[in-house]
Amino acid sequence: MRRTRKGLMVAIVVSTLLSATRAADHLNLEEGLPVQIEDAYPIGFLGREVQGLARYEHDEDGTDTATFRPVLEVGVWRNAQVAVESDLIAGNGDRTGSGNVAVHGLYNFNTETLAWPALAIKGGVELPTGKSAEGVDTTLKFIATRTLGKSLESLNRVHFNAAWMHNAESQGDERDDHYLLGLGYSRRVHADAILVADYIFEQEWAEDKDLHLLEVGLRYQCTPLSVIAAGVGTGVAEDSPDLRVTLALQQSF
Amino acid sequence: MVRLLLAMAVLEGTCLAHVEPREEVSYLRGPYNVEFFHRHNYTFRTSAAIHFAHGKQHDVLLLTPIAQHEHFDGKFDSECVWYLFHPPRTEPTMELFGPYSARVVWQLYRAIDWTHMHHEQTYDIMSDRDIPWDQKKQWTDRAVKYYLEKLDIPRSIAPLDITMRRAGVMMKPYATLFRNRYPQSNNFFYAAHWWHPVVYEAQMIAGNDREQEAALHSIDTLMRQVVLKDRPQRMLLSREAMPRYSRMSPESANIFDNLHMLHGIAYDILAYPDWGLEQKRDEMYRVIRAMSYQEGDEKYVRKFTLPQPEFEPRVYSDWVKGFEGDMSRIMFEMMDEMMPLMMDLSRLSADMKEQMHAQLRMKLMPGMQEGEHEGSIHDAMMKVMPNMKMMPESMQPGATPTKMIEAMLEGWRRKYGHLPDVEGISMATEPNLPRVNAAGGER
Repeated sequence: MRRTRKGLMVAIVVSTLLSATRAADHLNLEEGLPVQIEDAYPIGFLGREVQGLARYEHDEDGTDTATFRPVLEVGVWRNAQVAVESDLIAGNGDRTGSGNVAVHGLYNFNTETLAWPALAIKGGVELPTGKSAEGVDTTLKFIATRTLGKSLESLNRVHFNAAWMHNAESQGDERDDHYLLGLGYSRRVHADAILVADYIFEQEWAEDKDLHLLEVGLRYQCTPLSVIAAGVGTGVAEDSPDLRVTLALQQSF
Repeated sequence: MVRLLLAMAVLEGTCLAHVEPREEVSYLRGPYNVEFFHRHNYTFRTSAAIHFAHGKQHDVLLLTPIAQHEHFDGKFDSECVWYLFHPPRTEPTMELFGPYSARVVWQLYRAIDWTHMHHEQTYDIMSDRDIPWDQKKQWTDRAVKYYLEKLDIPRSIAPLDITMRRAGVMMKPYATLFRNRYPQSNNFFYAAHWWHPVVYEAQMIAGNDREQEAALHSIDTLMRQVVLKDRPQRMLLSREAMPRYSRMSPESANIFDNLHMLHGIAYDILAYPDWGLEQKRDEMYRVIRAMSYQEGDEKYVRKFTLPQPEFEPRVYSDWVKGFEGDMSRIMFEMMDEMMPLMMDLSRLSADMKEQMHAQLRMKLMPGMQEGEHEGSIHDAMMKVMPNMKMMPESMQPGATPTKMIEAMLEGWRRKYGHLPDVEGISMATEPNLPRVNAAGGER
């Protein structure tokens, strides 16, 4: 009997230390899962998620790359999350930065009301731990999310992302600073599925190279703790990729 | 930008100053997580369909005119029934199907989603075969502790007898509006609030083994084939529909009663047509706080009695589906406790008292009855007793009717303050599921 009680206590203590998580949530948009746009909401306080992304990209110069991005995301404080991630890039395209480790935090200021959109700020650093990388680059992003209309039949949201990225040690033909603007739309298409689409304009590191991308994807809640996502995108101007295909997974643990 | 926001605020009839943090919290980690989903998926999905209904009902009431209540009541009820037969795979949060209300009364959704999280935890614990029967209570207690500690507005662990008195909603102008005007939807939730506790009770009489599958199959079948067509006429309390579980975890049992009552009050407030959104929010947040956990609630946790300790959850008897029960008892007691504040009792004739009780009874029943006065309980009482004294300021949105609450709590203390605690239940031996005969009786 004593042994049974001891076992129970150990199990409870271990579970308590492992703490808690809110289920991965298909409504809560995450960058890259499966499109670039993200919403202004963090995961819940004490939540923990692993996320994984696999992306194939065919560029207009004929090169092909595959990117794998593991992410660990934690709801460290109320209304705030911190994530650590790294892009691992393979293929015959530009692989600069492959293996860099990035850390970023998102803070949400408010839940959406009828008057105010949900607002958040996100900051991050990218450490030069990868291929041909130099200097610690920084990012600051403003995020807004607003629900459209008063429909009983759907949930439609628009999302706005604006980011400033600073290149700490720019090379000869690289920008010191560059910017990203994104406009996204998400819609509940089923209780378990969210459709998401976006338009992204992003200045690349290289001077005179800008990316214009249209993406569409689906986020599907397959268990209370996991979301799978798939998306496809294409460039709509010069310098943009011809095709981008993304598969992603989010799992609370 | 500022002008645009101002214009939007005026259009929506709300206040720009209203900004609130989101403050979501994750659920408790345990080896039992998602066990209900995996082991009893069909039953889990029934819960998901019910939560769809709860979420969307908020928006239906805020976004459709009460003048067309019959149309929207019937339409939404059909949709809820459809969802029950075509349930979602996972449980929706309130926001997913009630996004407009999320922007008006966010704290309500926090309170509901957090308590639904607790529901999931406790179903998971009961479903997990690897948690021995004699350890179910410890794990449940741990989940209760987390529930109370991590969010600022958990539902109280005190019985509804206490929290309903604290809420002080009985003489508010919206009281019983939802059940009177939207009886089909209301009774869908009465069926749902039968289903939730009898699932726990079925687990309690089945034990950890495969008998649990059989017991829950009976409940799901009963829900779809019988209960949905002949719905309960009252909100069943945990002590009525899950007496064994209530003895094991009275905290959880009371939390669920307090949540289920909050659902009903919230729908009343949202349906009330004479207040603006800000007023509804003020009143809603007052009620949420009043029914939240308060320091010292522990001493009331077991202050209730069990009308049928040997209740068989797989039997849908006349008593279960009828109007008479603990919920109506609480309401009648509250009315009598408040009455001295509103009437000179020496002028309250026996006939008047009878009429008062008759009107209250009709108000508490779903739909409109023959002879029932229009409006709220307060309106009906004023028709019966035109000299009734009211405190108009306590009827205002967000105002606490302090004197009435004090009178009701004092009334409860007089009647039940010395009630012995309901007994705990032994979990030492895993039960064997008894058989039920076709008529519903236990063999």
